[in-house]
Amino acid sequence: MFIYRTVRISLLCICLVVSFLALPLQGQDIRGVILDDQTKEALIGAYVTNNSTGKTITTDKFGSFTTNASEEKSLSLRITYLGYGTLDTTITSPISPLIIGLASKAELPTIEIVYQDVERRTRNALAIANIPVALLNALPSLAGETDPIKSLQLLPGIAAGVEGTSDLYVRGGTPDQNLILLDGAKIYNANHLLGFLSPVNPSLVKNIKLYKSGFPARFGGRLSSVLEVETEGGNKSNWETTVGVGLINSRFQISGPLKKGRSSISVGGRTAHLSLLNSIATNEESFQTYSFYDLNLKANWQYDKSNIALAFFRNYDRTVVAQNTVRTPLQGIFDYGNITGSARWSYALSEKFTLISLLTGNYYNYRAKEELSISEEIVEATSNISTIRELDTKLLLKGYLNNNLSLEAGLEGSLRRINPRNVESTNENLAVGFRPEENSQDLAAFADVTLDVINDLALQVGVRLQNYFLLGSNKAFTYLEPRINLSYSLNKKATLSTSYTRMSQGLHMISNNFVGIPTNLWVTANERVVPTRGTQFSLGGGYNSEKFNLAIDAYYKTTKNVIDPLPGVGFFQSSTENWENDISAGGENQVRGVELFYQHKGDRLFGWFTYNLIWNRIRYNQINNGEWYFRQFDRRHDLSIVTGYRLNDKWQLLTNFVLNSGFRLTLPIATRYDGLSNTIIPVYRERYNGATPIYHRLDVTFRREKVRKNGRKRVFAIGCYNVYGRQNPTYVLAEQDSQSEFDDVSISYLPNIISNDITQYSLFTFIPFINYEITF
Amino acid sequence: MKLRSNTLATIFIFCVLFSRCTKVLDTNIPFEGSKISVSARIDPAEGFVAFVNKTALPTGDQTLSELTLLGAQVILYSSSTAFSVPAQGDGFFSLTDISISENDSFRLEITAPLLDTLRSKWVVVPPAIEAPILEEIIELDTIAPAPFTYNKVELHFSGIDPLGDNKYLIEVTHNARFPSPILFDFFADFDSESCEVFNFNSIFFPDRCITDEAWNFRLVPDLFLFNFSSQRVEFEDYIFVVRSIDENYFNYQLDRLNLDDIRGVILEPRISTTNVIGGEGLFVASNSFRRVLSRP
Repeated sequence: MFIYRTVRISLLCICLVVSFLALPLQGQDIRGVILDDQTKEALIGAYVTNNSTGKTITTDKFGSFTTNASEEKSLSLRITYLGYGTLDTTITSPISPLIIGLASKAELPTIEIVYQDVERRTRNALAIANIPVALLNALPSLAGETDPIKSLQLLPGIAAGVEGTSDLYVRGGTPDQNLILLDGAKIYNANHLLGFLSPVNPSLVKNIKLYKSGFPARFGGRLSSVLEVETEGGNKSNWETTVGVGLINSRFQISGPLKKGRSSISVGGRTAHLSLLNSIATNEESFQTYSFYDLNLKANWQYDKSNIALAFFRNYDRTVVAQNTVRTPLQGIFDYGNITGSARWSYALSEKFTLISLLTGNYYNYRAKEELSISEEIVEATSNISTIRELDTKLLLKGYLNNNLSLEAGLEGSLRRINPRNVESTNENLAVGFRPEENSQDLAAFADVTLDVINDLALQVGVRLQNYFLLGSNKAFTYLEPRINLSYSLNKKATLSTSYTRMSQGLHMISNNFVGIPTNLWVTANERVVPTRGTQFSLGGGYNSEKFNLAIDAYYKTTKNVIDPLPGVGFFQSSTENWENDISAGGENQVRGVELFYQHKGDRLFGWFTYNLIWNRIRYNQINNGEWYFRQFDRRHDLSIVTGYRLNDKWQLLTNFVLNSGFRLTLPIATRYDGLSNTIIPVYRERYNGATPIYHRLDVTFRREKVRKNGRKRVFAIGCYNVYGRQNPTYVLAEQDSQSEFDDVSISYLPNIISNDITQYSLFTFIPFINYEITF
Repeated sequence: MKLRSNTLATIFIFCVLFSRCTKVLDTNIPFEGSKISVSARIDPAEGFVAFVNKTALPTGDQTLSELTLLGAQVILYSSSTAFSVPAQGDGFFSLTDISISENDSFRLEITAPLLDTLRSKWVVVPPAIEAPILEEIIELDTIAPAPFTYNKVELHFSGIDPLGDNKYLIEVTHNARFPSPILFDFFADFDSESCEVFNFNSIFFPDRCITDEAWNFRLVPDLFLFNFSSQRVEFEDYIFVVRSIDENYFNYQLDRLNLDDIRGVILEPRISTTNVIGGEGLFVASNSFRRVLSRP
């Protein structure tokens, strides 16, 4: 009869010996689960190092891992997890599954980007970003609204677009090229507040992992990055509640066990309280309201060899703008959001093999509605609606064959229906302009093999066979996507690595605004506008010591069949039924860049410095005479310095300093006056021929976290975004005006003076904030 | 450094969350120096008209007199003849006594001292709408309060759209009764019948919006009264001009549409439509008919 028990860990590193009835261990595979000692929640991405072999693996989304005892009689493991204490343990008998609990640390964790787990062992240190969510949430951000996804913009290779928005430009790629998975389900136009907040409640985010290169073969369908966000599954021990209040929104989370130690449920939500902004925007002739909310629900069960997780997510934004003029009372309503659901089942077939199946669904829509009233009665209502419905399934087999060889293989399929634009109107004369529905399916087969060629040389070879099929037209595109990662350890601290990746994308996003308003149109590639294909090659190295990390990576990306909307044509400005007429297609994009990362690890002072140097250019036959030109967010230099200083046991000071090149603009080269139409016309000749000035700002946060003996936690943060009030441009307008004089001879007004200005508008200057969150 | 919790009890007064600051953009403006600027149109019903001056800096204030071109000469070429176009003053050039028919081709050349010669591409006069008939129904709109009065004007237009890919522009102006005709632009609301139309104190649309059936446009003028100087002027007639326009003219309307404030923020600027080299501007062709309708 075997007895096993959960191990409690203190803040200090301790060695623990677990004694069982003696059984031979050599060559045995050991399966285990790492849990939070208090909540019994699975720890995703915990590092389990086999001290005999020196190999490190990470736990999966259910906190599980598998390792092999090799030829040793006992198995010595070191288990670490960001924000938790370290455990050293020795296993002498093949107990499986092994349940291990780690206790969390009270202080804010530093980041550890460089870790030699099975994925990082074959990749450059900068290929994957896995940052403690607690740290991402603590960093100062716009209006104090913690936003772990937006905080990723402070990492190497990840740039921001319009200031304040949560779009991620990863190694020169556009936001539509990021595969964003929330508990395994895809989400589209992932933001609140017209792009200024990411859609996920920061209190609920448990783990964030971003791949920038060297993508595992299990991922496909996007070109630039894969962002996996896992939400909290719930406290399996006790019920707890977290409530937070900020300037823009309030949030809550309630979680607890359905069956102690076995299953749990977590419910969380967030809602805006923007009445202050609404009152500012109201006047006699017009008013505007804005509201949003998001809701997360997650439940999981663990039974013997099975783990089951169900998740539901809903985000919704709505703005109403009304004009109270005498003639045409007009009200505009703009709303958008996602509804997603996912079901995951993991089953340990044996000690070596685990089968994971995933089923997800997503419904995304946005609507722009206009209501015309006469005598307070709505006489006409017209809506432009765009929707995406998607059903995805994935079957994944993971095998840990021995300490030198692991593999993954599987199948993936998607069914998708996109309705790019449907017009509904009470005026049947206006119920036109719709675009045909697009039904498509994606199928993929993939496999990855990771092996240690020799002791210091690790290789991961993968391939993905990706197929895009447009139903109705019977047109299919099939691509073979090799994925190769190679890493060589110079010594225990230094590595060199290289990777080669090919990706494809069967969906295009048309977005012709740079302010960030989510009027983005997703469409399916077809024979006229084929799928986009990309290749990335990277080479770099890293040095990881106890006091600092240093990493550098150079990369080269090419992308073919890129599309851009035609200038001046927006989603609602187009009169054509076919979106293909509103775009420039067949573009070619080239990105070259170097990322430098330095992290200082200290008990009191910690932080990191990143510098990106990038050239991001594109060309189309129809634009700029077919010449290469630099893309809008080609920020040549991008520097971030994040520092943290522990003032005492409770208080921390956190600062961000960001300095980067401005974004590119299309500027007029001249102005002319058209006397026939009495119009001042700016003359535009070349796309993105100018740039805004250098961008820089400093954010500061004082943060206090207090955890009481009964587990109650209080977090208080006060700070300021853009402390010295730098007027960085959010958007730029070329404005023309004229002054007229009345001419007695012709009895008419003739313009006398024409005035032209190129004006920058800065929205975010010196924004103090305060945040308070309690957990009980 | 010690921080005591009671210092946090100090009331913290918040600034406005979003404060909008504006200033002139500090960046290099790619101005290439002055060039000849032209806006020209040829139409069988109107003849040839052009406005010629110089381009201005994209930023700053300039008086129109600074942009006046002295000594400019305009030559209009047909397939067989070159016409010297006489100046009318203040930058205007016009020529009415020439034969212009649909499918005729013309090009333009403008010279001025110390500036490069401007040359246009050939433009072709588009076909006219066949058998156009314009009828109106005018009703008084009693909803608007005094002193404003509005008329609902339903414009019933019938005609036959010629073969080919055609485009159209409808402008509605009014004519106040002064010794000299005065044309003012004003805003109008249009409801289209069969497709989305653009609206920028005129409407312009491609011919796929047209069927053999009558178009129906409802126009609601913004204002009937004008006060300037010490005179109060009230217009009395609508003037409807329906043009068949060429591709460049259509694209130019799209360029003007994007000068609207909201579009300028949201959308990227269009590359300006032009069919001239050695300068800036546009030479367009149209084929129009017009109808004067008296206000009830």
